[in-house]
Amino acid sequence: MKRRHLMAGLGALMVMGGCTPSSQVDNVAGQASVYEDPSSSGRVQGVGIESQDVVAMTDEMMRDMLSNRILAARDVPPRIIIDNEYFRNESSSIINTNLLTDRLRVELNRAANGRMVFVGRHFADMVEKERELKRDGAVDGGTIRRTQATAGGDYRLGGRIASLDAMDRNSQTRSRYHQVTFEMIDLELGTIVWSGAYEMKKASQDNVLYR
Amino acid sequence: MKTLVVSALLAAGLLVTGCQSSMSKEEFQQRTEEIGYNTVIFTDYDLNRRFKDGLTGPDNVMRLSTTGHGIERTDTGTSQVWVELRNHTDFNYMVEARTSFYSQSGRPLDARPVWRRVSVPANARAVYEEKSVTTERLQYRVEVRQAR
Repeated sequence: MKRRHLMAGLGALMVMGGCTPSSQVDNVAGQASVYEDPSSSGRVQGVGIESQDVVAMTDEMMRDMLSNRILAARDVPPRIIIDNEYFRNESSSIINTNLLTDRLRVELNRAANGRMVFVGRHFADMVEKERELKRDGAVDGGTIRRTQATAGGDYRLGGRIASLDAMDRNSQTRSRYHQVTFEMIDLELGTIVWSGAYEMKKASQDNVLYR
Repeated sequence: MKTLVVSALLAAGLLVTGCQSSMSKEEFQQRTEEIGYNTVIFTDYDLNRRFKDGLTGPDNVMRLSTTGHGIERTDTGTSQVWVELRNHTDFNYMVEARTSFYSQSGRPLDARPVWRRVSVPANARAVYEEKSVTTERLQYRVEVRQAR
């Protein structure tokens, strides 16, 4: 009888042992990653500059530049430099300013369709290296043409991102006002031929980390 | 027994009918109507919508409406659309609007439309503007929704 009880106890223990998790693997379906529309607010939102802001502000600036007579209605299309060399981020938001200048240049170049010519100054060393190889005779002259020098720019983009932060200590709500200015500078006279500004103010309680 | 079965079937039928959508003819019409060119559409039906809300409820929600819209040419030959929005409520509204441009034959043209935020203060008006990138003569459709 005693033996029988012992065997039954052992059996129960084995069954229970089988039921307890043997490892710490969380074997449940996780949340699948999803594609989101970059021009609309996503699931993760904070007070910083986000994809929908980048898309909206560059789109607005592109359309505005194309309605500017000096930039988009000249008989000889102006040569324009758009890069982040003179585009400063002085705000408390972390953002790669190339996101703004690259999207602006690409969209503008596609939409301008010859009304503006873009100088790839950020690729200057690439062009210089190839020109040197051609001039040295290491490679042939290519099929396009030979020029005395590379293109000089007529106008160049400058700009700044500035911000103003505020925080409510009771509710832990923080708000951030952003002011992003875009300006096109005449590279001979130094005058500003076009200006655009994008303003936004966001408030949030969630602590979102931007990287 | 037969009566019981018939009654049960009738009750089930009534239940099923009750579960079906109570979309009014007007709402159905609004949701499916052909949208012409040079129009402003509230894609967010909470902003401007005809609907059925019981026997005594309103059949028209109009938190925001348009008081005017149009298209004109800029100095460089591109087009500029404007829409004036009116807020009928006591609350500030942040809305998003975007414009799709079409050629005269109805072909979608221009750069991809992008949602742009517009703040419409309580009981006030605000103007949304959008410029095209092409210099062709264009038609437009503006969509308005609540900002998220």
